Amino acid sequence: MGKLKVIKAGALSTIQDKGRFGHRQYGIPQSGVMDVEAMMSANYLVSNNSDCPVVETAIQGLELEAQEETIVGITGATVDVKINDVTAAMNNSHLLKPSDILTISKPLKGVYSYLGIGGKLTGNVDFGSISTYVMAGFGGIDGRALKKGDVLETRDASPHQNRSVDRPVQSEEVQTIRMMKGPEWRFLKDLPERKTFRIDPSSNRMGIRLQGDPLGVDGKEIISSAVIPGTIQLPSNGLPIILMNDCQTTGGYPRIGKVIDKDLGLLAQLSAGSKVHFTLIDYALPTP
Amino acid sequence: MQFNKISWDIIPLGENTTLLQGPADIQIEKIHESTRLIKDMLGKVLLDVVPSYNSIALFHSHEDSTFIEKLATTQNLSKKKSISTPKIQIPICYEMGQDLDEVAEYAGLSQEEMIRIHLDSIYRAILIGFTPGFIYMDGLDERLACPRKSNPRKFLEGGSVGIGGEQTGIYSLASPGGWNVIGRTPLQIFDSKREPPMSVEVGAKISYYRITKEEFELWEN
Repeated sequence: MGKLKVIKAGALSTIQDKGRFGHRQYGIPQSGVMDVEAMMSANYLVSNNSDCPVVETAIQGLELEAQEETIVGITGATVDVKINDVTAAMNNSHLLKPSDILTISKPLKGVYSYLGIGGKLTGNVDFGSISTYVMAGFGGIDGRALKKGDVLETRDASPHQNRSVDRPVQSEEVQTIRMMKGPEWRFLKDLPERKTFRIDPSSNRMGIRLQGDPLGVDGKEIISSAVIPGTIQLPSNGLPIILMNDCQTTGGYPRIGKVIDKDLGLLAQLSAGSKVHFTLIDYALPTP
Repeated sequence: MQFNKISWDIIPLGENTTLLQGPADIQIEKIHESTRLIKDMLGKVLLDVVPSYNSIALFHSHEDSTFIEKLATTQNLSKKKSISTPKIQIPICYEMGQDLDEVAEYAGLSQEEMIRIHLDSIYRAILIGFTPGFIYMDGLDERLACPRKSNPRKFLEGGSVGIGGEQTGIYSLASPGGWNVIGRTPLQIFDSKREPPMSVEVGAKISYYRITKEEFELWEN
């Protein structure tokens, strides 16, 4: 068992798992954690299966009060973690005692932090997933972000073990993101690999917008067709948008490529102003 | 690849998603028919099948592309499974259409004339997408075409029936939206507790029948 009461929650603190699959035909987005590896590490810290739900927090922090003994672990974007005002390490497991206060600061580096809680978090399950999708009110607690007074409860926690993980430190350098060609690759008049972009501050769970020297593009829009998380859209202004977990299911901008699944977490963690550069990889369906 | 007598380009959309791109001028009926055939044949193998205007996206498990071979080698699709088009009647309350006046005025019609024209047409579900349960439909009488609102609303009630340019559609769930709302249906087209969650599928023919505000409220209760 684990039980945490929310004292304060930033607007973007939500319960997420790996996401909902198989329902894009009804217009239902995938949702789920923006950084899957950080989620898996958070679950490892608290001795959970790697796909258990976690709390994702961005922009503002989170303050929680333990109401029972609860195992916690924090990964992802660098934050200050405190237990009763004493600094506690990220990427480590901690056992909270009843009435302990856990404080997670706003991100100091990176964007999304993850709180793993020992046991399986309970909440609304819609279409096979507890992931919160605020726009349609799916998952989470009543389909919304966490707020003061909510209680996070878990079932079937394993006994506490001291665990830690080594997580790569986010680099200050230009980040290289691997992409494959998309259906409208031929619309491009420039090679995206030749340019360096910056992350636009308006980026969110729906998509990451890039700023910089625009890419030349032939043709403006396509007739609406399927898009997925990772799809790189190129509107006529030449500035790419990389669709992320909460993206819509169809879109009308040319799909010049797709960021490979493995690099989406890395991309999600780049804060506004960070520099990014694409490298093209060959991808073909394996032939049977 | 040839499938259902159509030539498709096979294009990766992602590591686990493959786009079957049909000819640009393919008829939407062919897309809907091919989608149903694919679901019939491969419903258990594929994770999701997402049709749009001239393509079908297939979601498959990691690096399994054997389904393409299966589609390509399928000959003589049985004709006996001739697929009947579902027909659906949807109640609509025009009194709850906050933009009814504007659309009628733009069309140069009285509200009652406008409503009669709207009720006389048969519509067809073309595409589900944009937001959960949003249904794009064709069949709008061209006299009722009306440009999208310059300021999209942050909130539209679920069941809002909208007109955006020459397109029409239903916001099955509450969402932001920029189309002119001419009425609302109390029918719960999208229900997350139902499987499948949508009571309207692409290809379905849709006609409306008029209800009063009182009937709307009774329906909701």
